[in-house]
Amino acid sequence: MSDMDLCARLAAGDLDALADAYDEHSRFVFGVAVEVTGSRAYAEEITQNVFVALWERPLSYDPGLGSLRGRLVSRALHESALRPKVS
Amino acid sequence: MADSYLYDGQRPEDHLASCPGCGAAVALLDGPEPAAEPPPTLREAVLSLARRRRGPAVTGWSAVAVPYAEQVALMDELLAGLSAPQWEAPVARHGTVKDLVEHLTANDATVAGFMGVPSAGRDVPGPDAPGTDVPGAGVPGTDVPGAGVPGAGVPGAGPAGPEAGGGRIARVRRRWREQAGSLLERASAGGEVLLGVEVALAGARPARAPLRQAMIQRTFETWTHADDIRAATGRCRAAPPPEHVHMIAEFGLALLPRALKGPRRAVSATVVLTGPGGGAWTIPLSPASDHVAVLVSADAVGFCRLLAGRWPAGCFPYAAEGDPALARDLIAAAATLGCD
Repeated sequence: MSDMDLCARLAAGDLDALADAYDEHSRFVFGVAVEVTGSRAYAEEITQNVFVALWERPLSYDPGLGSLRGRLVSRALHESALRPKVS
Repeated sequence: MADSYLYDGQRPEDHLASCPGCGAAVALLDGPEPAAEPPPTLREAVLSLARRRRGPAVTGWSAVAVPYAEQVALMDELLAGLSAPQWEAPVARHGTVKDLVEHLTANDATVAGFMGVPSAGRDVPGPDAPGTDVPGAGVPGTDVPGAGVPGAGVPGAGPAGPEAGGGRIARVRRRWREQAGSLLERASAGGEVLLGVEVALAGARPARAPLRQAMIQRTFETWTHADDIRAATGRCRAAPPPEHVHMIAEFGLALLPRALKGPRRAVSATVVLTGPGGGAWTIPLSPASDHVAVLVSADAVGFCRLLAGRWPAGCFPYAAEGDPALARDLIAAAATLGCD
């Protein structure tokens, strides 16, 4: 399924589409968050925020500007950068 | 790092070159690391929180909102790829592509308004001078992209964006997209009962139908005009997915008895549509219809284009068995059910 189709389903309120997006991209979102924050606890929180934000505002993602994975990882990176690094 | 590049007219690749944060994100994406398995419990936690924040659509709404969302996504992708000159390409009956999108926005507004979406208004012609393309200009409550209209920000204006002097174009696209997005959001939160409430349909002939039908008409018109734009800009026309074809054909057939000219006829007509999305329907042309007077068969996608009024008069290919005059009348009536 393309990013465009996935976002159409999200916009139409199909929660299974969010599950599909999570299954497809959560490893990357979580991975970036762990990498940047050094904390699995922070990474869980960030991953949750990123996917719930996608569900709440699916059309804030524009497929014309890049992949959905890129968008989600970018969000995760941004949120991670605001957290203190756990060494 | 956030998303400022999305609103300042900079192309993503230019932004990437100058933003270390985004550059790092892309670098991370390209490598096998840092993918890492989240704990298994996180999936359910995410879905559970999502469900609390925004309830999923009920089944009845999903059936009409998903096809509409898919056509909106296709239209959005199409508009994002148009150059500034293509926005000015002539479109029969509607002026230019830009005018056509404004027409679609206006027709969507009836259903959107019913669902409580604030009016998107209409563009006020003005100078396209640099700096005048304020995101959300002319749209109350949207001074910041997405503000006041959850999930409806338009992050970019595509090749015809502000950098190409397409301020008005960007506004036209944004208004349509924001309104469609808001309509979808409201629809996905709507109850089943709402689907049965009658609303005005778009089109030259005054007609009312349950909201369920009006949503199908939004899918139908969005596809029709996307095809108009494809034709106007030298792109290949595209048939809707079979399930959309079936839904659109059924929508049009339900309106057919009322669209027939002359006195009501106490007969039924069977319509067989072939190809992807096809099917067979028997339509009573009056409440006292007791026998089938005619069987009309045609291509399903072609029939959808007939409903949209996209066949020249008398040129639609079909086969008929039974009453040929009634078949002609049915085809003529079907061609009046578009939204122009």
